[in-house]
Amino acid sequence: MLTTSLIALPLAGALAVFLLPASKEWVGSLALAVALAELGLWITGFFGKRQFDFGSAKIQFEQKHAWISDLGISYHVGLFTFSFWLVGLTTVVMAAAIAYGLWAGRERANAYYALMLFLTGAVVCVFSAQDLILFYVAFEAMMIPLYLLIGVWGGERRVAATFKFVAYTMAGSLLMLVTIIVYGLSHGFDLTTATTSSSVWLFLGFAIAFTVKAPLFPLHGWLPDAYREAPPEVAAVLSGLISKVAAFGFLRIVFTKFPDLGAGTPLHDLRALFLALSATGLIYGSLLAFRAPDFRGVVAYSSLAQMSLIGLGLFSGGELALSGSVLQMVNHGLISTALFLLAGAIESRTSTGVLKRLGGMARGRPILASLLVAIGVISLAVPGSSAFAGEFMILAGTFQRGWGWALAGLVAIVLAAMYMLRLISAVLHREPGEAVPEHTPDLRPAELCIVGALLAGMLAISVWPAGIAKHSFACLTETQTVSTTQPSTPVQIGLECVSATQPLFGSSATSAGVNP
Amino acid sequence: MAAAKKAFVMNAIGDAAMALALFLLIQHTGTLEFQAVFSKAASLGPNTWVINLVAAGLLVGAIAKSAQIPLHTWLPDAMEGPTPVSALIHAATMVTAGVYLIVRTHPLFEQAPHVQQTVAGIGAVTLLATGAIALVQTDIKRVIAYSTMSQIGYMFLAAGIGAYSAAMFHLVTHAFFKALLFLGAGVVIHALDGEQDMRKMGGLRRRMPRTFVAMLIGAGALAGLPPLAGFFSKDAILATAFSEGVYGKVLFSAGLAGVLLTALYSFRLIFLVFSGEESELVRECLSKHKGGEGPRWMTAPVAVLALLAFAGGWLEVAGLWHPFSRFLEGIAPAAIVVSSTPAREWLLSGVSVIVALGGLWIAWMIYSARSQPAPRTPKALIEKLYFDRAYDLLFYRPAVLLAHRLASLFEQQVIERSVEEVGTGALRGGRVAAAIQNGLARSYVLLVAAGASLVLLLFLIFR
Repeated sequence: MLTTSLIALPLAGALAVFLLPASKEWVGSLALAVALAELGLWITGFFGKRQFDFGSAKIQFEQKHAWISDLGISYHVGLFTFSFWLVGLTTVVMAAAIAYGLWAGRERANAYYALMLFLTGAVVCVFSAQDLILFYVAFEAMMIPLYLLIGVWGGERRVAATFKFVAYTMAGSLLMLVTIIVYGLSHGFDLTTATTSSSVWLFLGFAIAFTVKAPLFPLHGWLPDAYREAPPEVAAVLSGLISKVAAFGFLRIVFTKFPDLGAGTPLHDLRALFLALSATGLIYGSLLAFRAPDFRGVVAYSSLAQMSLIGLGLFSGGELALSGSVLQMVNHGLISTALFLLAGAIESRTSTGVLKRLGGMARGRPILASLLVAIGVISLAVPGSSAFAGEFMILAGTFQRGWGWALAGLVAIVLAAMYMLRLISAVLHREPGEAVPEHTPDLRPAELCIVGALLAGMLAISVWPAGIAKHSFACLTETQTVSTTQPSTPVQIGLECVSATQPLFGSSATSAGVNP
Repeated sequence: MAAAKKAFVMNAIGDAAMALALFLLIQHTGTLEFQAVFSKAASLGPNTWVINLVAAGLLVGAIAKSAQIPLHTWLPDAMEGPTPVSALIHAATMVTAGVYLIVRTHPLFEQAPHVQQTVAGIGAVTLLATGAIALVQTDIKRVIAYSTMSQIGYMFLAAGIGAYSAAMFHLVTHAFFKALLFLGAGVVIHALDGEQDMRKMGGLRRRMPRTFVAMLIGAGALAGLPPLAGFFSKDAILATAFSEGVYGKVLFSAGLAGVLLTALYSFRLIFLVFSGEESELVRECLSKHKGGEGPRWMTAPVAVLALLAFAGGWLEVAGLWHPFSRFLEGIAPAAIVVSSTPAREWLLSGVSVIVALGGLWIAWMIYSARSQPAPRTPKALIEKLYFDRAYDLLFYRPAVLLAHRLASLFEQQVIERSVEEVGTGALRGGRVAAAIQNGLARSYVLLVAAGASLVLLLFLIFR
């Protein structure tokens, strides 16, 4: 029931917001109330009689109704442990984005907030869909509000940006639709019962669609423009949330339906290719972030790098890397949302994000400076931060797949320090830039509340990263062969009950390795 | 800010190397808990590539953190921070974390003897090179910063020859006298309105007698003069090195040469700042401040540290009592056996004291009595042995260049252009397609269906 409520509440809210004949403040407040109620609804999953069981292997809060029974298509939703975290990320990011939109006073409020709430419902539906057609419908439903949000409320070059975004994602979506139809007709549409496949073409169909959406190198052509031209809160949603949908797709569909069963299976044969693309994207994104001329450019390319890192973890497989990837998805969701909102706050004051024209903003603006430094330092994975825990787990797992991949990750850690410190210092330090008026105000209480709440989330995860990492993969029902410590003897872990395997990050080792 | 970035990036390099070592440990021992790893270390080594890589990774992490050559360039620049912060973080505690790391993980290093010898070698090279650079610095805080690196070199040397308790002992006494020197320098800088250039100082001994005594104790302890703290700890290191075969003798000679350098640069500092005629700056500033040495809350900690720098070395006297080594026994089995030949002990101590006094004498001749002209300073030392310039040319600029090239050639030309080409293609196609755009929803659906079935067909064929 909870899952359906989580999907239905924002959709109903969207309708109400769309029809409410009131000023934009009232419409926005209603939308924010719905978003916060959605967040509260998710939190109830931790408590009460029917609380979420993180140790369980089964789908929880499951619901199924026949839809097109001839083809075995149904409305089938439910949450696995890792999807539960991603739904939580959705509610948090969307609430922050809507709150920011309200603060920024977006025009054409009815349509704007209706689209944002509709987007929320669609994303939750993607994360909980257990039927391929439902997954596809939700996936497409998620794209439409995004096209409009960028195309209508975006910056000066929004039309070009939207065009690129549509061109890329439509190509990916069509590919996925065809793949789903072909796959579903022969293997079944219901993800919990569908049989596995070893077809390279089907594998690539899904993989490429998700690669576009993430995006991973080299299919990231839409990313810089979309992240720059979208309104800041929509850019935050794009990079913080929508990119995770792709990672979810890899986890839920690609890895479970195309298991690595040795030579001849696509995941086995093509794993090196995707690891190589991820490693390339990681270094490539970090380097481009280092020379990007504007605030959003740095965050956009660092987002590409971070998604590549998550890709590295996903394609490495194994307990450490997979749970590290889920942890990092949540981390990066919070971090990049906060950074894009800060970018928005800065742009609204200086009407530019170009680093050359910024500078000296720390003096007299302690809140802005503290938040930017704190979030920047967390994002460059300083030891003790949530991102450090995630990156460490991912790279430790990747190392076991092949030391070379982890080496690329370590190079990227150094580059991350370089681009993040460059960003912080270009905005905050040096002489005041030409675009910074003398009496530019510090962050307002509303902005502080939104970004501060996100920072509080990051700090909470920093204190207890195992809270997510150890509770991400109680199980998927499907099994997958992943060779871990000894490449010669395949061990049955994969997505299956990972937490039951060797307690590498057990209570004692956690303090030594991840959480100092 | 540039200094902060440099410190951060250098340490990130160390972190990365250390992470690599940890990944290897996870892979081969399945844990990161000290005791568990150590008990499994024997099965990894000795001298296999795994244990060598683990030890090397930890070593790089320690080098970056402790500012040893070649990852040392961040420390002197980090002296931009306020003086008490320099004292606390950069001299006494934080930078010595690398030494602690090596001592704490010594069972791993012992399984990788070549790496452990490298530890000692790096220590020897660093203590000589940075000691030499310290000789030509004119900024009072930078002299102390370079001396920190040099003294940590001694600790690395000790850790590299298995004298763990000697390394930790020197770490402790160093914390006393280095914090003393930093705070003393802070008092001086404060009195001189923030001036840090020693060439503009001079003759402060009369105006600031208590600070002078405190700094004298600090410099003497640093130079290893008895009975001050540094004497006992440095002696323990040199004695152990001497008893360690040929390589040990080489290290011993480096350490002894380091004693000369240490005495030279520390008393150069003392003489430049405190002896001679009062400089113009000193007269100008101290006539304004009546108190001279600053408020009591500033001088009290200096006094406490002076006491510790004076007597801190008595924690452990070779051959007499060893409470410090006993205390560390559980973690680092100590080599207290050194005292087997007391005669040689005394001889070595005597030699090192004579060398230190020699250094003091030379410093006196050049900088205080001025009976010798100051030697011309070699350009290589002023350029800090060209490390900064080499890193700039070898790593920073290529990285920036690569980033720019990737952005202008690949990202803009290939990735972004490709979409635009598709766009113009679509427009051109659109003119043709405009004919089909008859406004009938039915025909659109038909076309979409036809397109999708085409792709579907292709799939079924190539499946």
